[in-house]
Amino acid sequence: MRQKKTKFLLAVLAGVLAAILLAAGCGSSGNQPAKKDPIKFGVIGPYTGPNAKPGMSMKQGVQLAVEEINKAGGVKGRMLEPLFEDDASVPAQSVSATEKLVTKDEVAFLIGTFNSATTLADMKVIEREKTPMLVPIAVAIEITESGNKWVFRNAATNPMQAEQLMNYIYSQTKQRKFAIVHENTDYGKGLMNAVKAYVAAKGGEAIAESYSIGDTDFYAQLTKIKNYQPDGIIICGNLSEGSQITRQVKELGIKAQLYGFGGLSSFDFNKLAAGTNEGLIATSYFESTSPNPLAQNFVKAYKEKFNVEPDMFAAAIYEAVYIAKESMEKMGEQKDMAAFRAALRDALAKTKDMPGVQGPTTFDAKGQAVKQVMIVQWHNGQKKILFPDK
Amino acid sequence: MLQEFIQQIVNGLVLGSTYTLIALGLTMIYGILGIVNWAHGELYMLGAFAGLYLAVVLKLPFIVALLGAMIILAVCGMLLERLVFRPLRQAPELNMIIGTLGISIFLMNTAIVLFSPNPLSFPTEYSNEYLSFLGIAITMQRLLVFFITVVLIALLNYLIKYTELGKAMRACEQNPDAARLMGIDINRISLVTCAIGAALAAAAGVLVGPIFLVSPQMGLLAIAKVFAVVILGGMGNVEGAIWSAFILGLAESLTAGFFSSDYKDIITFFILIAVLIFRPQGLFGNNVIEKV
Repeated sequence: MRQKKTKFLLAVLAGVLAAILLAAGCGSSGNQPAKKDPIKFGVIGPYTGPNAKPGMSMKQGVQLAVEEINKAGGVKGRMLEPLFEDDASVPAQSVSATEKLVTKDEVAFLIGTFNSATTLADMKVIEREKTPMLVPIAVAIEITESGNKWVFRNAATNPMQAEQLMNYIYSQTKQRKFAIVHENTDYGKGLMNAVKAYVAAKGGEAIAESYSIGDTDFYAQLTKIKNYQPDGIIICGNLSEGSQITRQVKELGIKAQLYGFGGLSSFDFNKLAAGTNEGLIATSYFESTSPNPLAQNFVKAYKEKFNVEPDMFAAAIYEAVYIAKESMEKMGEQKDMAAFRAALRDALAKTKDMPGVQGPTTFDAKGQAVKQVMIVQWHNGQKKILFPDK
Repeated sequence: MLQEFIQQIVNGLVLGSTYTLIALGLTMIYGILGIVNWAHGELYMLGAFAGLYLAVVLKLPFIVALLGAMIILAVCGMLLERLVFRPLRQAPELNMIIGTLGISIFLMNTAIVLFSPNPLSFPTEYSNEYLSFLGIAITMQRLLVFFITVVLIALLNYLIKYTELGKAMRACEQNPDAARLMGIDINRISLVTCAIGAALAAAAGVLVGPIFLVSPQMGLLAIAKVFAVVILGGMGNVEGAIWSAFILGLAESLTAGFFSSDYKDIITFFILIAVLIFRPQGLFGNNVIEKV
């Protein structure tokens, strides 16, 4: 028994030592970027784990943008070189990925992540290391409200999305009585609060019911909603739970217009909902049928390279790479990496009316772009763009 | 109001059935073999995938797929017993816990590699049959979950109480050494128990999969609550697990329906903590203390 204990202790010690050695390996050394060195940048996303699918779209969006830019001569003759680091949607893993990219790989800037929680965790590192970060996907309002001046986001925030959807409902319909079903996370609560505030300000009534990520049975919440008899049910959550909510709404025979955000406009949602999403109206950051010519070129090139239609995640991150490229082209020569990062931050802050696949980008003082989302409706497994209508 | 109340009771009963189905195998393996099987959630997940394959890809009738998945998982359960549980039987308890935890992680990640992490819908011939009675809505698939749960409980009860095999299982539960002296083959009992436990997990997966979604992570998500059910009923107490599954299902439904959905999960674990403080043997613990 004693021998066993000693063995166990030794094993633990060995593990701790290995961890320390690994951590020490991440120490930095101040390299100076030579003239025609490639410009390295980090892309942090969930390439494994529950969000591996959007993670794959992120990777492909970056690969396409980089290929196009490098083929056209790079940024002032320097090639772009993306380094992908996996965070598996786990904040702690995301922070170590950020640390590695910033201090060991010495990337010029970062793009990422997928989840709001991981982005918020990484922002502490980029502020300390003074490295700019473009946020194309995570939508929690706190990201650009935290006073961190190294973060720039080319995606509509929760309140923007909620307001634009509610504007549509209030201008196009007479519905004023709503039931909100929301995920009890930063994302879901942010949307719920924004919808509630809008309804309170513009007249109408709303109740809110919550659920946890991974929940599968929504009968209790929906039974309550059925009795409330709302005009519309607004789902503030992701596709996996969202598809089960739409199915259970149908099973319980609730007659109300369904609304949703972001993920509920994806074809993956359509597949899971299997027809129960008929008539659902959702916001969308990007549609492959968008009339925007930049978007059309992107869709064509993406399909040629990867043989699939791009989704909104690929589009958003593709746009982010071009925003970074545009800013870097405006910069002069920099003496070292720290100066390069600082100059890039200042150049990004000046981004104004930069055309992109999701529409023009202008960063405000907080690094947030005002983005117009689209509003689409599901019909027979296809999407119809309701807004903008031209 | 009354109608809403009855609907919430029905919702709670269906939810309770889903917990019962998963808890049965878990508590049985613990009761008879003394193994806390962390990989039980993954057996449930594999059962759902097996059922999905048989029913959707091979287009077999749902009931055939259910039985098929139970047989496939019974074989998996026997492999698990032979390869992991049996070699670890004499080792300290901690080794067994780490062993089953390892199997759980291994199986979930293997499933992610094989089936991708994306959830799948599992349509059956009963999914789109909507029933409505006096304003109470339910689908055929949900009704099926409830009824098959009742049938499985009855079968299990018969097996344990009235058959030779059941008697041998109970003997092992009470005193393995004495059972061995009486000529009971412990290895065989252990093998059969694991097979039945895994088959029950498969039944749960195939029945619950169609009303929700099927994904490699489904076992992990379900198992926390099922452990609450098993502890509430008294570890290893099959009857207690059934009662506590229905109590929790109803408590959750009624809390969400008449107070707030924010408290739905809080109530489960509040009951659990209260029981652990005041009745650590579980709500139904006394009924089965048979150790002599």
